[in-house]
Amino acid sequence: MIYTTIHVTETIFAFAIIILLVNILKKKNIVSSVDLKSYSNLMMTAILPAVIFFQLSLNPVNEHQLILVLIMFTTGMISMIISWITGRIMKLKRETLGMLIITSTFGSSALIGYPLIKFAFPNNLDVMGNAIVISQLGIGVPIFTLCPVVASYYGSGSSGFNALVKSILHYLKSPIFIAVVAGIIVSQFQMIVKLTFLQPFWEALRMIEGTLWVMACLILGLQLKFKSIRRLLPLLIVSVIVQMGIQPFFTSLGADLMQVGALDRQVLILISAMPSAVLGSVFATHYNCDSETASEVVFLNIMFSLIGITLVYYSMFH
Amino acid sequence: MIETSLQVTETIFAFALVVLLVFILKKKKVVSPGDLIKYSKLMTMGILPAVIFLQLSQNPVHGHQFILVLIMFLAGLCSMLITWVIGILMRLKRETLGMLIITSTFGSSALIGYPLIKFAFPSNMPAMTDAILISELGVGVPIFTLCPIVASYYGSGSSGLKAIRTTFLNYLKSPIFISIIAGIIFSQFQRIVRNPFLEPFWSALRMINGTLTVLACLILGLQLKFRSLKRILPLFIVSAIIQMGIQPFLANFGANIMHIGVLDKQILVLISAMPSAVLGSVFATQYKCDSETASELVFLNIMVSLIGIPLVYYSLFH
Repeated sequence: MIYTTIHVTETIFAFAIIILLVNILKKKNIVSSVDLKSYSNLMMTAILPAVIFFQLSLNPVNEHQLILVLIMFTTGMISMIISWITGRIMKLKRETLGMLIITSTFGSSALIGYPLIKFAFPNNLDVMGNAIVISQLGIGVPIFTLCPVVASYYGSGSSGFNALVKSILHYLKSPIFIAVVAGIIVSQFQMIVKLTFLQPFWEALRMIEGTLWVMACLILGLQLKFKSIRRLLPLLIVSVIVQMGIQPFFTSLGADLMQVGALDRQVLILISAMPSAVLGSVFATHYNCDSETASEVVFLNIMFSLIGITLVYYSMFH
Repeated sequence: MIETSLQVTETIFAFALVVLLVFILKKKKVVSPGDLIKYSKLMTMGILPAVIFLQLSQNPVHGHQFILVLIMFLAGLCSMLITWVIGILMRLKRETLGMLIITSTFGSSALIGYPLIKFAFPSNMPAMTDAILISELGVGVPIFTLCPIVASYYGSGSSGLKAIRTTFLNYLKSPIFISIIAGIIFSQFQRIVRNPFLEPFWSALRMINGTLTVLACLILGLQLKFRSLKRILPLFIVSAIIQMGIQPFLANFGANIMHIGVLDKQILVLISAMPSAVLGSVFATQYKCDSETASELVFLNIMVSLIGIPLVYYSLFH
């Protein structure tokens, strides 16, 4: 228990340090918020598609894992609906509603989930492998499919069925969707994936993957302003409750319904309890979906996960 | 040994693939040459100092590593002398001779060297420390001292002791130099470095380390331009032979005389075989030392290094 807390604390503090560094660079005019659009363009058009393709290609999904991914996906959809209803009750303006859905639904698997699972299930390579696939796909696929559609729809300025169709069509033509589809197809041909002469190609994608996290933090850090905590507080409370309370609850329910094994259930619950994804603020920035508030909510959500994840972890293993 | 050779080749090809991706992004207008200053600033003021400080702090510097620096420095001086003799024999005009010395002597040890060592020797921290010391002190210091002297002496632009002194003083005040000194000092206090409270700080720096390669490729890709080969072919042959042939041979020779260990020798040879430094063309521009030819030579040298570096490595270690 104490080790988990230390591990989560370590990761979250590392995150806070990078955000602090970005702020120092901002103060010294080395990076500037004027460049946000160009950073997010680079992320959305090159880095993210490359990482998605890389992760999906190397992690083929089997039938058993598909059920776990499906549970995560359904839970994500339920959280999305709950945050949408809450947002409507709160009478949020359009972009803020989209932002709330994004920050309440999609968890930070890359930042905290993946290392935490590595730590929580050590010395068992099979379980670890399984856990990694669930973590990558269970959180990755919803982020890469639903999140851009939501951000694009609510950030577009127009509403209704037509706007939704337009957003979906826009997503279907995006490099991210192409990477998702190509990755899933290529993952079915592991003999080709593992060809020796293709190794430099995967190595190149691995290099690109190395930048994902810091670039996402750079975008988030450039957005952070903290104008009014008061305005932020209700949004933060909603996103924290949905993200670290309701989502793991529904995942647990889904796992029970589908009679998932104990270990897979633990992995599912743990990754569904992750705080808001840093990538959420990247999508919000790209689609003008109240990106400033998004980055503030994501930052505070991750900070709060120091307590939240520890509590979920405790309730799971005790 | 064969495994390392394969890894070096694989890394170079992976590197080339990322640069190719940057070219495509440039064509698609996702990134533009206008972004060059922004990314260079981020690299030299943020990423590189962080990586240097991380590597040097985590690995205490030993006396024998300064021998590697000295070998590198001497190999550079010999290359300079050889280029000068060849240039005189070729009856080059004054500016072109200066430019040839610059592009044949100073290698791109940080921009290409670090990522190469990082991926070719994965999880080998001493290898990276060697690379940083050799690169920063054995190549970096001469670049910021000798290179402006050569450029100023042969160039037709602003010259004189004052301009050279300003260049050198700016280097001493740069975050890169400060991080070298801070890293070396810090590395002597390993009890503080290994304090658990500092772990989040190192984790943050490790995450930043992940961005090094792709950012370097991005900068390279944005800098490179295709131009006519015919005009500069003889100059290019000379600079490529000295940079990727004679210099690593001299470094290898020096390492043998000083009975340097295999790993240290491999790093020394690889760093000394790096293609012309991009910084060389910057100084050539500043001091009006045939800068157009300089940038063309730098580009061609980098392209040839794709074959040159694995070839040199293979021929010296097999």
